[in-house]
Amino acid sequence: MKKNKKELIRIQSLLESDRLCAGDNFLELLTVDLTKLLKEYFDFPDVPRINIEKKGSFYELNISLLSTRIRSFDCMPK
Amino acid sequence: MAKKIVITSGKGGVGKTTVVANLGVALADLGLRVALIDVDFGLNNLDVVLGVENKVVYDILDVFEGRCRIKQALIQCEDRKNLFVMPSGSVNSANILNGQNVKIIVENMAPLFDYILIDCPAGIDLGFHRAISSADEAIVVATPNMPSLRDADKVITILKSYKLEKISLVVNRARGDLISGQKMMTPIDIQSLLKTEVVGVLPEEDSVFLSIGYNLPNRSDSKKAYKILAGNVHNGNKKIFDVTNKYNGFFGSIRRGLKNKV
Repeated sequence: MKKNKKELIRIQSLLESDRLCAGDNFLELLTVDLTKLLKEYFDFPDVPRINIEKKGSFYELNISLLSTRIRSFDCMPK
Repeated sequence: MAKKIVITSGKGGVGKTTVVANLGVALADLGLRVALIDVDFGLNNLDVVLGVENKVVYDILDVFEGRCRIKQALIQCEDRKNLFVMPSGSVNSANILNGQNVKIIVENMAPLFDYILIDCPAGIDLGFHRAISSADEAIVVATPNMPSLRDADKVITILKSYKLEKISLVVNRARGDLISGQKMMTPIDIQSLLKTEVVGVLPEEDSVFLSIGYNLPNRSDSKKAYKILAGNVHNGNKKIFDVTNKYNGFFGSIRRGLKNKV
């Protein structure tokens, strides 16, 4: 990959992180944790895509994932 | 009534003062009456860049404290009678002059000029806010490297809270050889990254450094780039100086190779 493209990807990631007012690896950690949780319910080949957008005083979170199967299990009665 | 534009950046050393001086000159060359105000108290250099440091008698603090009138503090440039400089005060001025005070002075100057360019200090502390409070529009100066772009993004976010009429971006020190060789981000990449319109691309050139700012040779790329920038600012044009022009094609690649070897 050309140097300018590498730098562009790097700065995009940095600005996203800055704009979220979160740490550098916030999205990475969130993705790892969400993947672990979702794997208990679904089978999927790829990691979920997470998009966080600041809207006024809120953050809108969108999680997108393609699953091949819903895992079957019985829920414990309340 | 003057349009008041603050030139800011966040990061220091990207060329704000140089842009203020040269944009001021380019606007003056269009026949407009232009005033340049230095609100970088303590680390001021606009007078030096314009070669009028020996002509400073009064400064902005003297105006505020009533020791002189605005016209007495304004220094007229020798070679451009429609270009004026309001020198900055000393570092003590920062304790006395707040944003509101500076705004009053700028508002009083506005009827005398077509453009007032405000040279903002680096950083995003009180000095930054003092400079922004007087402006209608902002131009953010950034160089095409990560630290500068990161700081520019933060500055743009803060500027949006001021509800200025327009916020635009100038990419300074653009290396045509590196952009052409895909080793440096393009202005289009930067525009998309910062989600802010690029109104000027200024090349990295020895003439800017050697002329200590503003008396650029007429044939220099920088002079042409500033002329285009002034046209964009004043007329709302959408032209950008192509810094890669002489580095494209067969001879361009040779020129690029030679530049990298030097």
